[in-house]
Amino acid sequence: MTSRRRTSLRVGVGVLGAMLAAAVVGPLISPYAFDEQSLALIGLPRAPSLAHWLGTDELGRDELTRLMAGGRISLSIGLAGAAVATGFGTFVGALAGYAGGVVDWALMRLTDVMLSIPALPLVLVVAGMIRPTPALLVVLIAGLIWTPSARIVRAQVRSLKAADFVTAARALGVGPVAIVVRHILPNAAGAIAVSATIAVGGAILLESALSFLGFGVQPPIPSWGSLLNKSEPWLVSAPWLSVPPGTLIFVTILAVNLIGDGLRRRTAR
Amino acid sequence: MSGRVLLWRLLAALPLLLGISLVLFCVIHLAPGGPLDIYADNPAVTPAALARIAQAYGLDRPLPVQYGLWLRAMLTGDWGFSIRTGRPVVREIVERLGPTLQLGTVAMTIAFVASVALGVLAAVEEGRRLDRAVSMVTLVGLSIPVFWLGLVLQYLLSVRLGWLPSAGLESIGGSSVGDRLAHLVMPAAVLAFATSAGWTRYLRAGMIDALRQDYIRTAYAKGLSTRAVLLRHALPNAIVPAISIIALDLASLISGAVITEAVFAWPGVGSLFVESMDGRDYPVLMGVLMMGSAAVILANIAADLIQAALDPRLRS
Repeated sequence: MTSRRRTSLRVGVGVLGAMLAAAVVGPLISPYAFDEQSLALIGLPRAPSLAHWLGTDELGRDELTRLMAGGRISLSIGLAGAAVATGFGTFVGALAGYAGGVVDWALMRLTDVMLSIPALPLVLVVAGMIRPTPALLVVLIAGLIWTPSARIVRAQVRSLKAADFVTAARALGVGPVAIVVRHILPNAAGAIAVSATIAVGGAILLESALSFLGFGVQPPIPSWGSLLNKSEPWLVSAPWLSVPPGTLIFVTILAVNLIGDGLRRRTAR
Repeated sequence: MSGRVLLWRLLAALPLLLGISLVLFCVIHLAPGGPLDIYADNPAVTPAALARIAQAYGLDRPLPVQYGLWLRAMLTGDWGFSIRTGRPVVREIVERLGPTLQLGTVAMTIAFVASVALGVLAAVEEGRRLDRAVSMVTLVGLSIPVFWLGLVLQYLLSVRLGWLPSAGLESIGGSSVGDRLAHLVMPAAVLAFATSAGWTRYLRAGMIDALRQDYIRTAYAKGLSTRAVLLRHALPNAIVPAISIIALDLASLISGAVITEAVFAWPGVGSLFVESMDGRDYPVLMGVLMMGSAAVILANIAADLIQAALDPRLRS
């Protein structure tokens, strides 16, 4: 088991790291800009060639460059969305768990409400109304996926609240905020890390689904989901446009899930 | 769970629905501008006329009053009229429920049978090759975006091989039973694959847990066959914890398998939702969202009922 746990963690981190590196470095060393159109190639998508390794789209733009630039958007929205969601969820969960009483009741009913509304339709409606920028998309996605981490943190805080070391800290005069931040949350770090990892996968999937349906990242900014959306009419005549973005979304989420599985096995013991 | 407890649970669901309606109402009013904005730039519409229209539609009333009126209409079954078609929202949704339920029933049946079979097999073979193969498959199922799997299958099975129709409910003109089934295969398979991945993981974990219990050893000791031990003693105990998640997945289907339906042009509630997005058809969007949320709440209660029926310990 130990070796398998390490393998899935290593493979996941390696693949995700490679994706990040390609997204950060790729657009810098590419001879093309992501929105640069080659006037000679406008009209129809062109198949991969030496000059354009993954071909060009119907507007004469280099597909490989667009994929790497799209990776920047998709990965940053995924990571930032998960970070905001986990941060907010941790805050809500810690507040509810430590304060208890009416505060706990109100916050948990709020998460019940959020968990009962079908997620994708709700985010579609909001995204359709405000035509979000990438930054707003992060907020929107985080607003949907913070509930699991809130519940996990609340459960951890409630069970640790009565622990001896917390009582000792309280007896020493440590304030409630310091108790939660310095004494309780570090002990919940494993569980928070697992839920953060799941949130990264969820955020990337939500962004790509929104963009695929045309309500996420708006042109000319590329993301993997919007590249897939734009390639749909060319599925038959130019499959080189639709295979790569879908593969990248799939492989990235696979890597994130591998990391999550590895972390979960590590914290489960 | 006794009748009184059920009644209590149903009553407790009402404030939850109220909270949901409040959130959704706020979402509608989050939209920049309002329904009268299209008149704002029209020189023929005087401010007095604008005020008259606002008064006619109750848009000049304070927001809490508007919310009260909206809620009362929702409760009495008056969900308004579609902006796109002018037809009642309720009728628009009911019409699309048929295809959605058809797709959902087939896909969920396949998903349930497959995940029970795979979950049991993987648990019995825990740590061995078959178990590892099953966890690979579930990992893929959890990671693959439904829309991309759909596109790839369309390309391979329809465009390249020509085995199956690529989209829609039936062929134009002829619609035999075989034709409708052929149209159902790909969307149902995609939906079933994506859904069963999570279920299989739950059932596998539940089975592994159940197989470690003393009563399993007892069952073997009194000479029961492996088959009887697995299916009659272990499986029911493994299914109980998985029921909550299964019920939630089923309920979320009522508001349509949005992505699957969009990829395969399946004319269900999910497609209605995406079409209504293009026309900013808020009455329809809100109707689907309210219906979907109510389904989730009911499914939660149903899951608790079934779990209590299966597990006497949960009846207290």
